Amino acid sequence: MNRRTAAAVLLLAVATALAGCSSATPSPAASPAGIGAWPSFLPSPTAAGAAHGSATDPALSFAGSPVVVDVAGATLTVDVQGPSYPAGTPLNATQVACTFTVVLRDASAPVALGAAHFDVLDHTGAVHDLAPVAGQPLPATVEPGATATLELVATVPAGEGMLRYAPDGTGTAAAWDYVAETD
Amino acid sequence: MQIRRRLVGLTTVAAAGLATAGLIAAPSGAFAASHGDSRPETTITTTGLQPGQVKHVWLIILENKSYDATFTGLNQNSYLWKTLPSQGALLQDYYGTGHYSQDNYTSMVSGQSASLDLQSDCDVSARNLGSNANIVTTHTGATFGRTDNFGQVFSPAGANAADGQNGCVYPSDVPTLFNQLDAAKVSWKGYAQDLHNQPGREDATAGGPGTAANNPTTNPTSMKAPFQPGVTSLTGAQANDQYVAKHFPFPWFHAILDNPADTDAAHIANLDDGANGLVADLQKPADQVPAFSWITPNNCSDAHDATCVGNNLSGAFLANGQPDYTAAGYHGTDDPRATTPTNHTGGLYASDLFLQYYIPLIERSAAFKDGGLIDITFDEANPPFTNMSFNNATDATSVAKAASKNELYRYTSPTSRDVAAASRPSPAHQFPAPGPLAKDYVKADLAGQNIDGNNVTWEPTGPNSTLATDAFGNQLYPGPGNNAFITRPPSCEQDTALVNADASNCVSGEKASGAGYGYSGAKTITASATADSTTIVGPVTATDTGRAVSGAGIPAGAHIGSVINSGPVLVPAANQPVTVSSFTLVDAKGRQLTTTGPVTGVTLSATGVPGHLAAGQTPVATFDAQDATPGGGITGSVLISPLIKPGTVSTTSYNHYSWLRTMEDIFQVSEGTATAPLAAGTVSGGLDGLGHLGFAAQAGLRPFGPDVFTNASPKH
Repeated sequence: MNRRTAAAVLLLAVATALAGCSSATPSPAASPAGIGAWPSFLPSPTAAGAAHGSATDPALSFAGSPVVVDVAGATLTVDVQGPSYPAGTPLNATQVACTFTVVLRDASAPVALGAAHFDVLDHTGAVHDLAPVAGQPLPATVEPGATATLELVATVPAGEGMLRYAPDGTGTAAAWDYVAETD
Repeated sequence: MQIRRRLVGLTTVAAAGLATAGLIAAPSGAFAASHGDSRPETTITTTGLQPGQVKHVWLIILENKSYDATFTGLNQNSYLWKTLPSQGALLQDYYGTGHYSQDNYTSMVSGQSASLDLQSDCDVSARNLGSNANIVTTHTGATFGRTDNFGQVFSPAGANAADGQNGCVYPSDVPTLFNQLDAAKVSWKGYAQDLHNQPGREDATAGGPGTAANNPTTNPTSMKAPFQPGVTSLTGAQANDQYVAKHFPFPWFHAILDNPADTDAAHIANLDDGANGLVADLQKPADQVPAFSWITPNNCSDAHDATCVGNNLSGAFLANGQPDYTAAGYHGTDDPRATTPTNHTGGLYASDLFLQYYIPLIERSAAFKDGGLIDITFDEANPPFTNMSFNNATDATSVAKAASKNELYRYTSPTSRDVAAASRPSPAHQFPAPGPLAKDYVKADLAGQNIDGNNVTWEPTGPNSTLATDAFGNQLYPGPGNNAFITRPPSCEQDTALVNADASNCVSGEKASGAGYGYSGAKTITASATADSTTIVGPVTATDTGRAVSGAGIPAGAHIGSVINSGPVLVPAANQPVTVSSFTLVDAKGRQLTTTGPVTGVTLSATGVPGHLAAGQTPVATFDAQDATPGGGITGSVLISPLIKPGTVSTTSYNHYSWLRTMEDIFQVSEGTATAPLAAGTVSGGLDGLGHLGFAAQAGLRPFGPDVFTNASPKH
């Protein structure tokens, strides 16, 4: 089994475990002025919303697709962008420093943040700690009405993996798939 | 270095979960309400509806996707795939009538059949397609039968004349559904997203291509460069204006162009216009909303472009995935196009965004609740392979495998045995049987409709795109399906650049073969793999299967085995690929090979005519000399209405001619007042006196019936 096959198998297994647990959040779209209510003869609208994740019911997502995460006594919306790479990364490098941008917003109450709340699971099954980019320390919390943007970096193998968010530092509530290709 | 973010098989693709009740109703024997007969219990032909039950129709037409691409999970477009069918009816066997695009639009609204300029999206000159003198005025064959061309325009260039020789704009005695609605005093409007965004691009009458000074008779627009300042294409999208006139039916008929009352702001409007746009209309009382609304999304929102050069509306949604009607706004200068997109991914990803934004607005309107009917359909069924789909139906991925359970057809990758069979020499002017990939692709060219209660696998070809074979069984003409997505042998007379030295690899008498499609010289591509790898990442498609591969790190005798194109990738820029491509290496017997060293690039062999390969060529995988291309393939269609029980599924074969007949019957156009004789028939009476135009007048053609309108109980 080569690297990509192994990655696919690993991610499929994780995806199967997580996707079956996640769920969309039905929420009828707001009605613009002058246009009426949802018709009673149609099923309730269930347009695909953000996935909803918690430590007991984790969500699997992908970069650019936010997840509404339950934390102790609060909810917040989390999204991930990236990874990006340092200039000059060698072509076909087997390891690469990946920088992820994590955006946290819409917190219903103050939510504590820490580097230990985020890590990377790569396609080999190895776990990598994420550290704040130099000069950009993490805020201690994300407050209601505020947006926290974190720049986190880890050196990981080229290939596939997931950035994971564990609000309590132990139980993953949401994960975002990524592919780090150095070609 | 390319950095890609990829959506992998995140979603466990569930079974469609749609009821599959057998809903083909027994033929009811079409009995039309006679003129002046307004008995409330009288049904409208075979629709099963009563006069006035449908009061408003919104037709939204999307682009270039087969049923198997759209309604199976292959492209993960869950709103159109799952949500909308759960609200209404899924017409599983709805067919396009031709390829490649514009002919479907003109067929839908007029019943006219395919001709090659329109099949080629009028890419040469927007000039007249004959005159009233070219309308067939006598019946040919059985009256209103399969070969009766009564009322069709016969191209002055003759049957199967090449693109550019026919013209695109129908003469004044070819009426459209809209002329029929006028005469029946039924209001209508055509909305087009982005219409008039770029001055000089679609300023001809009714959204026609070119400037206001252009017209198809005395100053036809050249569809090729050079263009007006600020215009980069008339047939493709540009960043500030993704409208394309080929997808808007109105400017292609003199019956509309010559009537100023049909081309004013009350009839032709930008979709998001603050005063005349869709949302502005939906806010009105039901009786002030047009009874029939034609909606043409732009070339991004209609799923046409895989990567959108402009806004795909991805910025018009809240974090929870719901449309943002408050911040993005919905009229005036504050419309959703003014939002900043978060990515440029197109295809069925973009069409889902469009539908998620606009469909709920229609559904909430007073007009929809009062006898409304939303109809989401496609022009034609491009096959579920890359460049027309984010994933191939043959991919060995979890997404493709899950989708295969919902697909109408089975798809199979070519094997080394298929490649070997196509490589064996054939006698002059004869060719090997098509391989599995060509067979897969030709499924997108099939025809279907329902005649006298029976699903049939044909449609009338009309006089301009006929079908015939030579003595060896080779197809001579492209037909309504235009040889789409398959590769024909070259014509001995018309494709001389492809004909070999002894002229054995060609078909004599073949016309408009399109044989340039598929044949390729050797090419070198950027690719990557480590040593001892079975998979190489590089920009290949399923059509490259079987090509010989060479280069550093590639073992001798290697060929492309299986190909995977996976997506969608949510790309931040318009010039980035929305799929990730990779392939395996096999030897001539199909045994897996591994790389012998790092790979940074590979050379793919040239492809040639199966049975007649030159040195160094491998057979083109999409080659098919013998199967006809009679139609536009199964696209599927979704209808939502208070007259339809949510979750309805129909397996009756319908096509664009059936759709036209349905609209004509729903609005009882035969009750209209335009009864002056035309070259053939009348506006209100159509060709058959029952209000049916063109091939919508085929004897026994079934319109959408009780299998679709499952909640149309009689009024009391």
